[in-house]
Amino acid sequence: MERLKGQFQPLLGQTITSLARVALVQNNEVAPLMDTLLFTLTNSRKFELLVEQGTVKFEEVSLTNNLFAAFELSPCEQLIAYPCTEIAEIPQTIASLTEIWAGKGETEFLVAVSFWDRDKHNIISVCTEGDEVELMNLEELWQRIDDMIFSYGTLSHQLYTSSREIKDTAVSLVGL
Amino acid sequence: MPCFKKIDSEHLFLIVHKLKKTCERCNALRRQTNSYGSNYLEKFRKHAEQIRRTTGKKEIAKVSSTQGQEQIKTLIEEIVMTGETRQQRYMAIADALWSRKGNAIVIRQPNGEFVTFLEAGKGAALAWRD
Repeated sequence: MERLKGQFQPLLGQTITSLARVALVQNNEVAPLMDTLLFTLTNSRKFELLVEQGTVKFEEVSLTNNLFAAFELSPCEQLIAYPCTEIAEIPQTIASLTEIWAGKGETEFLVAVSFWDRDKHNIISVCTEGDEVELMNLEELWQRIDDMIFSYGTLSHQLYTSSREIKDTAVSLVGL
Repeated sequence: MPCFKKIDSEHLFLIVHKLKKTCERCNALRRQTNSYGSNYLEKFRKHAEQIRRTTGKKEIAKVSSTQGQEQIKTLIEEIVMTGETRQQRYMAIADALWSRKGNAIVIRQPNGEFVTFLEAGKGAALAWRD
């Protein structure tokens, strides 16, 4: 996993039809994995987000690239999509997205991603600060960001409006 | 000869009260991990390699085995009981308990329930400042 900026750009211009967790199934027991989020688009493409400490993995899921987890599965286990109940306002089309990064240099890491519609209304925000994917609204995210600046000292925001255009919108810096 | 200042009973009461509060806080910070939450197995599996690496215990059995789970719980207890413990935010937990020994960090709820394991120096663990 890498600290790759702009890796969510394949979602730009796409309409999300559902959000789900990846769940571990064993002996008919289903355990949603809170470090995952599965985006399903109108064109049936699926992208999975997996959060680990300080890194994220965001990849398209296909017949040749199955759902993935942070650990190896045993032969009697399988992964399935498990519908998210936290989010109601979809389908919506992503017109832009913002990534929020914390820290500097080698230790910089992605702490949140916000997805926006064409009217700049927030569709959903995803917090990747810890080792789980937290879904939250914009107000919750900003409360968290207020706390993060005291934890990490530096936060930077990057706006992506198309696959070729990247705009730095703001950089806030507080020395600790 | 040491010089002791004479204190009245009111001041003595206040000092004892403060000492009691300090002890209570210390006990809270060192409280044993009394529960592991519903998804602890997934957390153990996810962080098993980090736990092996940061504790130097390469011989931990597979997490799917009871033996492996007990070994990890023992290591978590050791970090909690012998490491440095602080109280600060982790994700949405405002007063999470952070216990660190070397590069191994155990995160718990304020009531002692295990939340997760972190490796110092990256990601959310950067919030631990020396």
